[in-house]
Amino acid sequence: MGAHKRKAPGVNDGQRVPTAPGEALSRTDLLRRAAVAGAAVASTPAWAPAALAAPRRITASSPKTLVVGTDAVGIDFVPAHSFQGWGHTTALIHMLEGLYTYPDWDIGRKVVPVLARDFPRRDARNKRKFAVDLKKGVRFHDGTPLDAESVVFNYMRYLDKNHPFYDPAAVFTGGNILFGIAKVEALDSDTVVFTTNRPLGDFKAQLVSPLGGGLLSVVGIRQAGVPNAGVAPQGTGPFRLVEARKGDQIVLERFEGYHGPRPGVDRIVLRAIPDPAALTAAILSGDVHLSWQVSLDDVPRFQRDNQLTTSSKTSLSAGYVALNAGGSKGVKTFLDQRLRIAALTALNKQKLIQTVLGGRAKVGAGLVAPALWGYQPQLIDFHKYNPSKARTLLSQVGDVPAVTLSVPSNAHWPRAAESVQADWEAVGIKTTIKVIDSAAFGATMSQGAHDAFMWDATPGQLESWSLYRVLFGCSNPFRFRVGGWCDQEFDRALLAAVATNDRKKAKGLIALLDRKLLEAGAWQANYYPDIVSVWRKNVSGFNPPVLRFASLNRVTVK
Amino acid sequence: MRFLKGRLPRPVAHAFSDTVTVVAGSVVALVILLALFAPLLTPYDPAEQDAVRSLENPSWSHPFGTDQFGRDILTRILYGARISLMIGFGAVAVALVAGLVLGILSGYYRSVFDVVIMRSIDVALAFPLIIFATLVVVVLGSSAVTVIFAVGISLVPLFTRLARSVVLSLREQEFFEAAVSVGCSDARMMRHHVLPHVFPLLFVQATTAIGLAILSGAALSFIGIGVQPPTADWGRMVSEFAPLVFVHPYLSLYPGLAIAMTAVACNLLGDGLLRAFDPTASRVVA
Repeated sequence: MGAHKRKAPGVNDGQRVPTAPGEALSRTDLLRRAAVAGAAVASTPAWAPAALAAPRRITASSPKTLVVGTDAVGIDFVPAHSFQGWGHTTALIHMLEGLYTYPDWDIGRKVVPVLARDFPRRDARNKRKFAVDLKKGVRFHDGTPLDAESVVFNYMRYLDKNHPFYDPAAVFTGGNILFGIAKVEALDSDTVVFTTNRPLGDFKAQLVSPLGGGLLSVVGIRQAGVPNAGVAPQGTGPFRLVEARKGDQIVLERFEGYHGPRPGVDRIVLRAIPDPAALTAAILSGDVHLSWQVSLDDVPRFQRDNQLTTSSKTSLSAGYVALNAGGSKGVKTFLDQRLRIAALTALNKQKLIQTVLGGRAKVGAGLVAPALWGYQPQLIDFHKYNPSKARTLLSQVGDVPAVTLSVPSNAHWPRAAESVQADWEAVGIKTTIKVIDSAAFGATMSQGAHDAFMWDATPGQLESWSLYRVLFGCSNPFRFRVGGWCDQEFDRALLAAVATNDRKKAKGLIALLDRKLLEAGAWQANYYPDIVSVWRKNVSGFNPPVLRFASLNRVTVK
Repeated sequence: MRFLKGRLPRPVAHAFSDTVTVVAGSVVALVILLALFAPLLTPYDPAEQDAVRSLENPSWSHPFGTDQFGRDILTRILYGARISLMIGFGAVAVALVAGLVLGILSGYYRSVFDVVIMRSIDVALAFPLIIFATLVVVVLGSSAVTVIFAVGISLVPLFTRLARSVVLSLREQEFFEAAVSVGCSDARMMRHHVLPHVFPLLFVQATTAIGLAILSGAALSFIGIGVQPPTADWGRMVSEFAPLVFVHPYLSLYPGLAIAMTAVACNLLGDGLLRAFDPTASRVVA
């Protein structure tokens, strides 16, 4: 212990001895120098040149600023490009506008014209031609006027491969937008004519989508070129882009020249907080004003806080399980229909909802959620939980193959997979869970090399037949998610549903589509999860969405 | 522990005389016993789900409460000890054997062999342990065996360098030169004159590495690439309970404490053994 009392070099009976270069410092000396350095660092903002100082981050206390907590944001604002998060989609709908939309993206209301002056006029002689008159006096954020040529330019660069600004990365075209539209022409400076290549019951519905419906300034695209067209977007929306940092935040500022009503705030900050616990902490601390992407686990905590308002609605999404029914990529695990039905019958949806979503979901029926007109309540819980029936079917199958269930790494998916794994193993289907990075999940499943996977589907085009067209059918881009399962009758019914403007008939056809999918055992909606919105008491005018994105035009902050 | 004096080898008696080492050893022994006898200590199945009992508060029937799936948390902690210890001991065993072989070969033969092994080890050391283990798991896939292998491989450099340094110092010893001069074969040299000197040191190093291996295994499970469900695993439990931290904050505490307690106990036990077996390593006072 004597060694502990040894004097440190540089210290001699309390007298400071100057240290030579390279010599060890005494503790006192070290502390003194550290204090000086600390004081220097602390006073840096006082003397550092302004150019060196980091830009001040906009916070929830900034005047007339709304800070929203979201899942993810990107930096590419061409709307038809790949999905970059619901926070990003929210930014898109505030910067860019299309010809038609739901008022404030409220799907409970009727579609209204935005950049169009009125609803489309069908040509009396050619029923596949529609004329749309444009609203006058609309300007893009860069000051250029909206005219027929800019509409033609925007849509034809998605449709025409020979267009000088053709955009090959516009993945949502044909799926979520512009389905069945062959040509767009300018009749005069204020009128656009659309020609379709198939009968469309509700033509204008093909133009209503946050994922491709928005128009960009032609001058902006020409200046930026195709690869950079989405970097500095110039739309006609009530807000213009100020800053976008991938995975961090998007800052929007009110556009003074907006043609519609003035928004309630001057600035919107869409902050990416993908970790649910971090988002909850940000809401509780007041760092963000509102969010509709909160973890369902934390709802009781929000409800206890008297500074917060909480609202819960059944979302437009369907949480589903898809099986490789078509045997794509040589995956034969689920080729036997009895095995597929056994797997779906063994799945306890109520338990899944209770244990994974805290009871905040409705049991699934078809692909369409209750908020849309195509919802099929008679199909609720089509494959009822029945483990003994599943065991009987499996005994008929004989050798039951081991199954891999893939899920994305984010949100509640690993937990959901654990619930299904327990159900399947209980009836004798050996199940391994494969967790795939959420950013790569969609692309990986589209390859069709999986056995089974769980995810959710939200219609991009907000029409009842939209997702059937994107996910299923013999010629659809993402059909390998159900292993390329293909049914000609399904395809005919789908096209008939798109072609008719008789809602009753269309709903009947959608019932047929759902029944085909469920009877084949290719796919099943397990639930429609609630979407819980939380906002602070000083926020007003917010209409909680059933979609994963929301209009913030009418929101004000005290 | 005075009654042990004179009856046990000196290092063992030294270890027993150190209170911290004894307490740490007792904790490790307790965890091992709990893991071994888990099926006798709890009536529940760690994987069986019961939605009706989802997220129940602690009670006499479920002293730690239940998780989202209605599984008894205490049962999962007890069964989770098996996985954590298996990863800790398994990974260190892998690292010990591989490090021993590579270190002895490298130090004994030197020349090109030494250069190749040691530069490879340097490259491996350039990666932080958890990054290296993650890389291995991503390549080989997630399972308990893979995690053991991944953590084990990432610990190999630690053992290799130690084994090599001991062999290099042995080569300078007179008894070593004497053995060579009387014509001992390489195999005999390694078996009778190298291994007996190297192994005890590596063994002590192994006890300190177990805590690190348990932590690494838990970290891999926490980020979702370690042991896969429904296997009970402490790291995975912390990850599963993380989203519930605002509503049921105590849940993460159980697996978190289990990890911390076991890792600290292993480390303290390792330190105690190191001091006991190598007196020169005991308390360095500046």
